Amino acid sequence: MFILLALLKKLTADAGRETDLLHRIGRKDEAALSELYDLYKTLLYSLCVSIVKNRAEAEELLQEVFVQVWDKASGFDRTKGTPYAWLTTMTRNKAIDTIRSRAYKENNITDNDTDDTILPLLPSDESSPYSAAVAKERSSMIQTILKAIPEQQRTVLVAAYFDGYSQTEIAEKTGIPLGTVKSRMRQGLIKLQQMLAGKEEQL
Amino acid sequence: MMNQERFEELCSAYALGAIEPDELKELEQELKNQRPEQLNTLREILNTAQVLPASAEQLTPADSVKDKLFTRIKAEGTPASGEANVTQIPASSSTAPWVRLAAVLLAVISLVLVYFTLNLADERSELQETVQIQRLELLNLEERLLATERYLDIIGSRDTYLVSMDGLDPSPSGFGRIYFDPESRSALVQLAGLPVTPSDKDYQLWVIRDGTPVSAGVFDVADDRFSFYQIDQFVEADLAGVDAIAVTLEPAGGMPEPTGDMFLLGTPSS
Repeated sequence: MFILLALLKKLTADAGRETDLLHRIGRKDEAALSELYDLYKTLLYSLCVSIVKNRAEAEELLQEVFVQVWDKASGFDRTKGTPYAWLTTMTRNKAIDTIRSRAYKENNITDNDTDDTILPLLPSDESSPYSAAVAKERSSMIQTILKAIPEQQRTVLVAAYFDGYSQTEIAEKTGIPLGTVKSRMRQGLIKLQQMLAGKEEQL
Repeated sequence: MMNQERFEELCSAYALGAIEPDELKELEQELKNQRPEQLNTLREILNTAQVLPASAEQLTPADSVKDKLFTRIKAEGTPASGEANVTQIPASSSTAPWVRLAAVLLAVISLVLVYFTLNLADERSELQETVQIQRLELLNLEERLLATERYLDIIGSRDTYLVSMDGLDPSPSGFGRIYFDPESRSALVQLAGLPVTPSDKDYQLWVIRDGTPVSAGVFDVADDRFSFYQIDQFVEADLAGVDAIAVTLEPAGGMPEPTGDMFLLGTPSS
């Protein structure tokens, strides 16, 4: 738990600064919105692309996300979560809504889906090449960790998180028994947790 | 109580947004028991899943996205779909007036429908987020309620000792209390008026017997109001022979013996 919190702190190293930006956005400060957009555009856009698998739609979604940030930032409460968690949850929900509403689920879950989505990314501060380099290196490490998770488990994690499938839907799509899907999902997250803990020193 | 493997399965599905409605109810029901180990498991799994967004292929959106965003922000109050102007719909001068009117009406109706459809999608997304936030709030409240009940058990025990600690030089307005229940060997520590713990430090509680301090716990004070901490298996089974109890500020994680400034000090008889 402690190790994971430490990792998350590293992932969201500027949580205080970002919280301040959200408070300023809540007061309709356009400069703050611009700064937050620059910090998160790559992370959130890439998350959108990995879910809707269409760059034009992902750009529309990114715009929608930041309009919502502009409208809802005054209600952001740091005690309920980090800006990172707030923004990524909001973005994923919107993207999943999009693919659900457009019946994207006709596509089968394949190993290619997994390979396309497991690639590095972290929010980077473009004004600081050093920070960007460190973030990229850390992202690369997370990518390595994810790829080291057994493929069967990784596929289930990706199908749930990036494709928005429930466990029952994954079982139906893949023909894997529901109990096995549940078991692989649990094993995959625990494996990820253990591997992240093992990388603590390097992260 | 469900077995740990089943509980982890439910938490994993929840963290990945893949849980079925009946299993969500099962998870919520289980969490009503407020077992600390289960809450820790849930937190660990939620935190692990938070790493996933950072695993997508790195792509940069077009600069025009930001321009469009700010154009839209500046025009806030005007729905995006309202930017279209119905008067711009081309109409041939030879078209009959009623056809032009019908076309304009059709366009207006279409825009209204598009506007409401977009709004409904937004509202659905917002409602889902609200439900998610409220579930986490509920977990938080239930956890606090359970902690309060545990605190009351300690304070309310017939044999509970109370030791008060006064603030010393670094923070004279600070004070602390320790409620110790010898029967359960549980202690409740109340701290107030202490400076917020620096990121590289922790407050450490010491029980001093025969001049030898023994660590009894490490605390992270998030604000200067009342903070409560529970210690299970308190280091001393009997406070009667204890010389003093103190709180010092130490490097994060605590030290084997006190090295930092002493903030609070009290004796069992005080």
